Amino acid sequence: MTSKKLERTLNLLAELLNAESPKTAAELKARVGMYPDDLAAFRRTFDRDKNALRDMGVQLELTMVPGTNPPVEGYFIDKSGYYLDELNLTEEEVTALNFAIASIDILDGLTEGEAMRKLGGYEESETSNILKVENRDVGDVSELFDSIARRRKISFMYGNKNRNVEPWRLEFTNGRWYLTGRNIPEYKTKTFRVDKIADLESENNDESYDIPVNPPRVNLKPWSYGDEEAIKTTIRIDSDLLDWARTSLEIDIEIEQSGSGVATIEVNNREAFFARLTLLLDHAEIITPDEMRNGYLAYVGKYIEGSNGAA
Amino acid sequence: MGQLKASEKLERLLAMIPWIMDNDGPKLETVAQRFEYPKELLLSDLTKVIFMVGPYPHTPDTLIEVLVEDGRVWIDQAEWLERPLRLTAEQGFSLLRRAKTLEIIHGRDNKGALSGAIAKLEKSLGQSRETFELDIPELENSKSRIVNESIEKKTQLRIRYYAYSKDQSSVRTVHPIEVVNRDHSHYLHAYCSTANDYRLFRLDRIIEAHATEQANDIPEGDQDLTGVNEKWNLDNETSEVLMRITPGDSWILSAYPIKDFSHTDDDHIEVRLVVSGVGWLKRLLLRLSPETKILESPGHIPKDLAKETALSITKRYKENL
Repeated sequence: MTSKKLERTLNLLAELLNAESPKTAAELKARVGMYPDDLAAFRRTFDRDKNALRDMGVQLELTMVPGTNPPVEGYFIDKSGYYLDELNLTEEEVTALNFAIASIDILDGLTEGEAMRKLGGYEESETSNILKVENRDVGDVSELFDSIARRRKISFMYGNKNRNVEPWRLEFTNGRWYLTGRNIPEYKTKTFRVDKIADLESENNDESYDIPVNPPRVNLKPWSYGDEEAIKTTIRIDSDLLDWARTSLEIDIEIEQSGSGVATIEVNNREAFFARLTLLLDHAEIITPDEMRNGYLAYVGKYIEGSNGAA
Repeated sequence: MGQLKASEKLERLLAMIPWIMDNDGPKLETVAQRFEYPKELLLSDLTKVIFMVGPYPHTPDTLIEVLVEDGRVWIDQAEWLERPLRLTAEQGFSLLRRAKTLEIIHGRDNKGALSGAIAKLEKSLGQSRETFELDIPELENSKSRIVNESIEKKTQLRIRYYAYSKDQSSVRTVHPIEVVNRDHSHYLHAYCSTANDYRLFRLDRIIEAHATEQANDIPEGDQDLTGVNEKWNLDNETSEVLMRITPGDSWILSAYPIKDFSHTDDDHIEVRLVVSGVGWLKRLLLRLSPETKILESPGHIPKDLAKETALSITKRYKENL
């Protein structure tokens, strides 16, 4: 950007941020005073400047100029959408954010320099990345993030069905992003895998619904979905597989003196629970109740009685 | 700090001006460093460009005032730029994601600077811990912290590791490089002295981790790390197994690597599966129908593996009656 072009783009921004109402292209041309007289050249230059502002995230709207007849369109920046809130980040907080940027590398993601400069300064850190995060399968996650922030209803295709949803919560769990929200029109709470969301569209109306105080968390425990009467089941897990069991089964485990772990799980779907428990092979065992112990032995017993291996 | 692109100059000036106005004559050098703007260019752009900016009618009372004196800079009459442009959704999402991930790694400290910054960011971005959260338990435990410290210090680690595919644990000395997430799990990428090669170790399968004071010492010929993104070396030796599965288990054709498959006359499927280890196959067999048959397998994989696995599970129950 030559100095002239930089000056002109900044003067265009000055006009728009100081305007109380939309300004037509002709008005902006006259007020900025730096555009070519030739109409075609003006349009080209003006378009470039508008794009430069929009590329930075400036929401430059084209709207009707009030009181014009015939109606004329004009450009306008909603000041409430332009300015960053007063964050009052301390120097320590800015440093902590810079450290986070240096430590966590989101592959193919944004570089955070621009964001940090807006927050008061980007510091190149000598810290090496301690975590590299793949950015695959994130789909429309930042657009969903924005829709939640603005409380904007959304629509999308999910499993060949069109969904209309009030988005409440974005959650990264079990290695994936999930969206929880209220499905319209039946007003039921539903959870969607973000990487399966397609053709996402966000409505234009901000603040069009309220998010409940405690939106439900994602539940990825298949044994909790079922019509069977809930049964509290206690299992013991060998010490070697505790962390893996914790992340794979998403359960809280209490460590015993022996180093083994004990977890109590509410089961509503025995078949699903038994299937998941087989992942622990002979490194885990149902302790109580007998009904579940015997049920699991019968489940596993099918593989002893089965024809498996008798080829 | 090289030459700036056009868009970078515009973006940095719009972020810098509010900061200068808020900081009572900061040093030009500080501004240049903080906003990554070459100092000579900064001086020129402030005094020759910004000085000429303002709304109509561009009279002295509307133009931005820039005063540079004794290496310090003051800006006035720029109330319309006294706050920066808000973060885009991508910037807000990405920044908050990184900050929250680091908070998980270091443990949440509500009085700490990072948690304070997260709370302020959340408020500004219309989010809260109820609307945007990350749950990565494998980064939270003490072993994970030992791993991260060793990465930061570039020192060797002694680990005991559970190999899922083999259903065995082993002790290894590794030279940690970084933690990466792949296929929805987090792994330590390290040079393994036992294997004499790079390996990925799933964090939640590291049973024990002990820090050492010894610096990483990767053999010279192996120091080329450029292949990290292509490497998917999980310390497995694969083999092939031919199985006869029921129609209800056809989902494995798309879920796992297979060599080939064919339908039989009685609607069953014969599938030649690539098996990463006996432990892996044991688990798979207990997810498939008990009618599944292993038709061909290498010597170390018995054809009645499902039965053998089920017996070892039930044995534990008989011992603990």
